[in-house]
Amino acid sequence: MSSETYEILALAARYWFIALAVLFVIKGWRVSVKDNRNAKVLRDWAGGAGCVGELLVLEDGVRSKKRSLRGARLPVPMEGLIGSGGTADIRIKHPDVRRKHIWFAYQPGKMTLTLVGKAQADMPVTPDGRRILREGDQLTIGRLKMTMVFYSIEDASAASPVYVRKVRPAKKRSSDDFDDHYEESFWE
Amino acid sequence: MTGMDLDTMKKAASRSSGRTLTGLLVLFQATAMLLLTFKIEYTLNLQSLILAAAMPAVSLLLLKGLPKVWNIDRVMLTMVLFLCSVSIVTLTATMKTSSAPLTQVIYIGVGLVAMIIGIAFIRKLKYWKRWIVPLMLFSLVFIALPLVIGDWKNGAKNWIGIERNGETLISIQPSEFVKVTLMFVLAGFLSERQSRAKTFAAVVFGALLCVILLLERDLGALVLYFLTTIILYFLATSNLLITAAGLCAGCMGAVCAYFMFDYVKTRLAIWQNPWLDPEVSGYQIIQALVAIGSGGASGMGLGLGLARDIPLYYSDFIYAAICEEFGFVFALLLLAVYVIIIMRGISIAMSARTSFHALLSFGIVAILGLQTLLIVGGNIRLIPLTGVVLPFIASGGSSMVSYLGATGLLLGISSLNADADQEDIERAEWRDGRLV
Amino acid sequence: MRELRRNMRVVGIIMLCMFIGVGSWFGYSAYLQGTRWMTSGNNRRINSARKTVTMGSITDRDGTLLAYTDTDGSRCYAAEREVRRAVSQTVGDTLSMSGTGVETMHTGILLGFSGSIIDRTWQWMIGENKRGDDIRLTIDAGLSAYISEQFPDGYTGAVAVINYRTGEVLAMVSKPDYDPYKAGTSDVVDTAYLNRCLQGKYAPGSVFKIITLAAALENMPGVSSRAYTCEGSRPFGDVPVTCAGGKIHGGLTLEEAFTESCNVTFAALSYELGGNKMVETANNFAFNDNFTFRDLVLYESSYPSDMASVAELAWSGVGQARVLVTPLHMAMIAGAIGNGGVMMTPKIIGQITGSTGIPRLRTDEGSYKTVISENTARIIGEYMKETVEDGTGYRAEVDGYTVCGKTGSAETSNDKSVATNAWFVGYIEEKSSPYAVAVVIEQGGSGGDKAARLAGKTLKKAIELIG
Repeated sequence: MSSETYEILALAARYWFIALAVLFVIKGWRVSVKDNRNAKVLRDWAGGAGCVGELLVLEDGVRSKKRSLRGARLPVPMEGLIGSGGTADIRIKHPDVRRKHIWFAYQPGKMTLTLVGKAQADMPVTPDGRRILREGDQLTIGRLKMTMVFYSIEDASAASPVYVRKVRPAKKRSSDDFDDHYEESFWE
Repeated sequence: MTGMDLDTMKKAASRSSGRTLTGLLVLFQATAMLLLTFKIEYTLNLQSLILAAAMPAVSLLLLKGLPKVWNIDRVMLTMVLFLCSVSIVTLTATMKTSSAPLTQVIYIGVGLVAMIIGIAFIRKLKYWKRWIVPLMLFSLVFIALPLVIGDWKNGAKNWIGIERNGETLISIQPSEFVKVTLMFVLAGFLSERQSRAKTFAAVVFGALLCVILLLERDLGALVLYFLTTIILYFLATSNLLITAAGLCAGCMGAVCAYFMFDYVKTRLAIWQNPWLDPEVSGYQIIQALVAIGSGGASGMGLGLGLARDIPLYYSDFIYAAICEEFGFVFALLLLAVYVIIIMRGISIAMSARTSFHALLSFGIVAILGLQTLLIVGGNIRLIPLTGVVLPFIASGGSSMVSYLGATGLLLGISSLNADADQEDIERAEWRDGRLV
Repeated sequence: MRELRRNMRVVGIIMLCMFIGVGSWFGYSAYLQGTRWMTSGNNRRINSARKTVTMGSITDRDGTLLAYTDTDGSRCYAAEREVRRAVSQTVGDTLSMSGTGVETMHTGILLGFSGSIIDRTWQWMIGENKRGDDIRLTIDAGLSAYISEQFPDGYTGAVAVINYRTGEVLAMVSKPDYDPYKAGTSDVVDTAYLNRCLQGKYAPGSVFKIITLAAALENMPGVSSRAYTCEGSRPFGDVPVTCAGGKIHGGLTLEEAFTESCNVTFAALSYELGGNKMVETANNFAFNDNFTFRDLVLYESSYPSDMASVAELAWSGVGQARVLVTPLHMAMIAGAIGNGGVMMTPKIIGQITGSTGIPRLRTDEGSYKTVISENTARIIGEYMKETVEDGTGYRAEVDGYTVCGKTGSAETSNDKSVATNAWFVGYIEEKSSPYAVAVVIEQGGSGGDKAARLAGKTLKKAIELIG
């Protein structure tokens, strides 16, 4: 190809490339805006997607049936803040709950909790001082009593005594190891 | 659930197919490389011809194949591949020899492998806390290595060369790789926002790295590390007071550096008036402006710009070269592509499930954005030249590999998000009684 | 996590704004300054293009060739010697000795850097060598030659003529001039390459009173009906301001002070207005503006905002001290008065045509800024009309037309033996011949003498040649 022909092709190609880039950017922009909107929808759903469980409110010391939170299931995301303020991931509007009360984070089978500043709350404490919530454990903030409910079976059964037993290796008694194993764990 | 229609949720969680974008990308790659095969009079540039077929093939493979394995963000991958393609096209168009674009292709290849490794890695990573301390030590050692065994290059001592028989085979810039490890360490520390000690440790680590960079005179990386540490600190703690204090400390440090170090003074002097010394120190930036001016709005045409034989030009001034060949309209559209990548990155960070993932992805996005701003600003004389390169486009192995690896991490986190969304929906369906 | 997201949103928006900022700044400056950048450094593309591309030709508004490339490849200039010399700095030369010349500043256009594909295809088809675009200037060659001829012998200075309704520059004559064929040789007089209309910064002297008057009219109500007294000299601070030639004007109205060019009155007005108001008005008139016009380079005029003393403020009011202005800017100011307070962007390129003869599309730059209100412009116009009819500018009269103007005699040194620079700026009121002119003759004595006369002749010739 002669250099002149190339030159003319290249000059024409400039507009072609700019057109491609314009289309690329416009389409990319529109797709991104749509995806952003979708992501926001998903996040607002259930008050924070990616929930690992719920906090079921047992009691809250409020007498009026309408305004009481009793029986409410508050979705618990993987990580976040419990409080009454706007930035809390689990927002509880209760006089005993401070604006930023408890930080929580998920670990397989349990939630680790950290109190914020001078906040007070009651929950199970491990021997080495860490605050943990397993399936069924109660979290008490003043008059507010809640219990933890996990969604997945693995998490839920982490606290169960049955599960704990299952982990022990079976003693070899008979050829039918499986049945022995099952019986032992079921009746004890 | 809160009364939202399950079907709307399912639609919201589904990913866009990105077919138009893939088509446009492939079209760009094929036509540009095809045109460039005829650049030299009456001869076919075989390498360009092969690339004209190979680049679309690889892109299609990645864009169709990867999403089948992991549910990654296809659009972001398309954008990144577009930038890499522009890099190869520009190098082919303006370099006299074919070796520079080929080296770039190899770097991109390695980078793509790193990307795939990154995706797999972040998905598998569950116990990141264990890795923080070893990573910290590794980063400090690696980034200080050039001080010990490296050489001065362009006024900065921030690279190590692997040599054989006296010739440099590969030159590695540790500061590019340590960027990613910095993100890991910062995210790891800062995800435990409650602990004052841990957040403080993050800042101290960042500061240590900055000091080492100061000794190496790598001003650009220094600015990036500093700003990103501050940004991540602010994100985690919302503590405006300390963030502002940190920024002020940084500014004061910059002023001190100006008075203490001569090389800072010269950099600023060249920036203010490059025409005082147009042959030596101001030469580069003046030539960059000249290139941008010669390109005009629609560019001089692919392959019609000034041919060069110095590959070094393309690590710092590739943006100017793009303006020259494609025009500043195209260059602005490239900036828009970066903006889209950053937007999607932020979206990934927002949808992340744990604060570790959120901080990690936002950190990567922040560094990408800041670096792009620094280099584009330097090319157009808005700010002094800082020695950083344009991510994904500039010629330079370390930068390309580390950024593609970081992209892998981002894509990996996006796939984790998508998986979690799927789980949510399945759980909701199960509760609704649709799944038995 | 919600807090984290909120923070991320904030930082994200900040980064987005920075991107938008950088992008806009880049697009804007590349669009405006692109041609300037292209010719600023050693541009190897231009050098190599010069070898392979035939440079386009430059013509004046009527089509007279001012510069063209001969069939043997050499660059030729206007055939008539007087024309050639008159437009020398405007057109430029092959060696780029006149940096602001069209040959240098718009080399890109002349070498076809815009790379129009239509033209390239056309050239390829008819087998012509690659050729750049032709530029038709707004300059009138005949007018320029006439001005150059009429300029007083032995003096240096500049004359700028514009069309104040469109902003077109009709003539830029800078003396001393040179023959472009002799560029680079020792035949050329010192400073001949300089285009004094664009690059010459002079103390405006009394022509600055237009700005002082505008400041007074806009900020001091009732100033036009006050009575003023001139005792020939009045102290401001510890330095006296004196009227030119030791004249004592006695009692005057504001209009008389203007038409008779009384320094004492205007120094007093400047003092009364104060530094801030004066700076504000000067800035409105585009003083201190960094001009980035597309077609030409115009050096900044200055009205300092950091005056050291009351005396400086007073003298600045009459265009001395550190006030500096370029002749083209002064013509633009006069034109703005005639154009109802709207200053138009100066243009020198009328049309760009490719080899196919199809003119290129260019956006019209339109008006630059509105310097004062229409009302104030009308009043100042009245005063300027009086100045020519009855005042110091009577020598600028043109038969059958209304000339409005202002004279100036700017002191350039404390040495009283050095003659003042003679200034005249003015315009024709009739909108059918909307011409504005600025004349400065270095050490030409009083403005009312040589400068006003030259201005009058120039305007008359402009009407004759252009209409």
